Amino acid sequence: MKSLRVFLGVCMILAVAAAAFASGQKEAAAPAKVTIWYETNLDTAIKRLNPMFEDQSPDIDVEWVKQDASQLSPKLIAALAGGVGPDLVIASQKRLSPAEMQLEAWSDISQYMSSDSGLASAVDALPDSHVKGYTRDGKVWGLPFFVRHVGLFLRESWMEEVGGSIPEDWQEMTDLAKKLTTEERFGYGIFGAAGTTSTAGFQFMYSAPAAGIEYPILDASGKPNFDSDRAKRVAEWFYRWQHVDKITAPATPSWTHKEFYAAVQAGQVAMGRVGGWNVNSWENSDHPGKDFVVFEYPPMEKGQADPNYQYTWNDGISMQGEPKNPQATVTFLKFLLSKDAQGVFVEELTSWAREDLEFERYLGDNPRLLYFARQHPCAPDMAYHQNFLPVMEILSKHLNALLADSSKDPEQTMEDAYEESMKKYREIN
Amino acid sequence: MLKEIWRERVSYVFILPIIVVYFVFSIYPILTTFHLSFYDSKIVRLGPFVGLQNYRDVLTNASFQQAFVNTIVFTFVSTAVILAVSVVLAVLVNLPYVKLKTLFKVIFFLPVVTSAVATGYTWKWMYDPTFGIVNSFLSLLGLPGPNWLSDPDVAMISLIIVNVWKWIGYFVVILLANLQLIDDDFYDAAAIDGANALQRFFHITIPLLRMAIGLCTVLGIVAFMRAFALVFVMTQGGPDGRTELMVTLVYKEAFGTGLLRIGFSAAASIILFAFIMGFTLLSNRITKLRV
Repeated sequence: MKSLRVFLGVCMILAVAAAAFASGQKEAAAPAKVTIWYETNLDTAIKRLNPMFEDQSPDIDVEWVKQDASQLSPKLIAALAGGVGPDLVIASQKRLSPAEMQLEAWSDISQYMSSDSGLASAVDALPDSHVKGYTRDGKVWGLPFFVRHVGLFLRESWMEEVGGSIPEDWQEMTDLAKKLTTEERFGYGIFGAAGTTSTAGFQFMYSAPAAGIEYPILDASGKPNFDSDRAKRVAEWFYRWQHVDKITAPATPSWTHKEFYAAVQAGQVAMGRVGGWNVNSWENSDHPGKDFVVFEYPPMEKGQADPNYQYTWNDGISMQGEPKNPQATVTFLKFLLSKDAQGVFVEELTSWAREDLEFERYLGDNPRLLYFARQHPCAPDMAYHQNFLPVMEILSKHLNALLADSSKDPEQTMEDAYEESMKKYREIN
Repeated sequence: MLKEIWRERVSYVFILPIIVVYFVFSIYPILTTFHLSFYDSKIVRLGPFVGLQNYRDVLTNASFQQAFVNTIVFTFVSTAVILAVSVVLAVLVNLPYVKLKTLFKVIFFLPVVTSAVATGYTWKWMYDPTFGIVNSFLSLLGLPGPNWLSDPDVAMISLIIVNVWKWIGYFVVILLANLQLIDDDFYDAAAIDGANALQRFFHITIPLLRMAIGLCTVLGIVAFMRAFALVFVMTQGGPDGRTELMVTLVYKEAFGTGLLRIGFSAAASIILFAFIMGFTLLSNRITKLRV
């Protein structure tokens, strides 16, 4: 009996020692882990990036977690506040900014830039105006990751059929769209739904800069900025397209960008908004295939005093305030902003932020893609501002009503939208 | 009572897990929402106590007032139409010479088990005024097809149609089960007394289905006052806020605009909860009075 007890005691001691040893080994060998959330479809790029990063940093494990864009903002805030948030997030700026505005949840990346020249030089290659959009009281709470230029596409063969040419102002655009409108298709496609994203307000945000309004939604201080005569004229054009010239789909008031894309790829739309991220998928589908040209949104009228700004928005990348492993997280962030990684995004997604990439190498001689690599007069993106979404909600609601109801007056619509937005602005500020 | 509980203690142990789950996922969130409604709350910060300010803001908010009216219209019209049609369908399926009753039940119930989001997207395309199948069918009949989701005067009706289509099977099944419990002797006696089919329907079927109809009314009101997915997918509350419901508005205020107005949304949710409870109790009372 005594020998049995001794034997059992020795076994227990050995077992505890072995477990402690194994645990120590495991801790010593465990790679650092970085969790990154993303919302856009980055999967093809991720497949290429993972092995590239593994070669470079085999001691860092990266976990990519895809999130539904519509749920990302509240999920992020809840996760960050609960201390279980991801180390990095790639998302539209308007979905990253609430976490900063409400919780100041993101890291100040500038503190890492001062000690990491690689990171600093990557940031230098990003467009200044967009980096400024992530700077608040000196704190750099995020960086632009994809800078999304927006242009107009036009079905080339359809244009040639009607003897048309690239329009140089909105009247020419409307006249061409009228020729292109048939029973089977619409000359001009816009999205006109109510709500905060991909809606009538967003369509205004794309069109108004081309009319010379540099700050279409909020001015540089964050105050609603669509009370001008010019903004009212933009609304008048919206009314004309929908109710007078009838070059847009009757279902426009219920269209988000999803329905717009579906209509484009069903061959129902001759002209409309296009982003660099659309080009590859559109070229690979039956419609439009490669049968489209991309050009700048023309000015409202020829000889317009202000430039026809092209709206440019961005997806950003932010690092949480307390990442699990700050060094590993910064290493991965730097990798994602590197020329090699950004080159992968160019090839796979036609999306990038760095301005020093060899675009011809990645984009070849495809004119539809090279358009987005050129510089265009830019309207800055105010999506980071806490007033942006609430004001956008109000503007979209009123513009949606204008598109839905031909008895509405465009000027009155904009005045009502502005009045309600100012009320909200005073409430928030 | 305590003695009875002690005597049945094993039974209570078995139902304890579900009670805990119900408390954690239903009672606790309701109590927390009520608590949050008195604070200027952000999503994870309680914020300062504001008393009834959130309730005042909600009740004086023009968008909320419109959403409230929209919700009442959506709920009551959907419930009334569903009840009327499902009673008729249940009676028809229950006719003695109708074969394959189970097949009919399955067909009516299929939309119920279809995802609301899938339903919404599919119907959105069916409703397309230019290319949708609905207007194409109407044009074959020589009828003009409206702008189903873009016309402010028609959009709510369009949503109600989809809602009725989706949920009618649920109520048919409940009513059919209750119809099958009605003794045939009632109908035989009425037939002997010379009552025709319509008279038997209104004087026998409907009175004997009263409790089931009452139950369906309550279920309908509770479900449709909380409707969200169809509106969110199909119209986002437009055009011109004509299809904005209270729940979609609560969602937008809480999560859609980045302001995270949790206190405001909590107050709106409590007001909605109070209305649902009020209508449920009233409905129960009316049903019991008439029995």
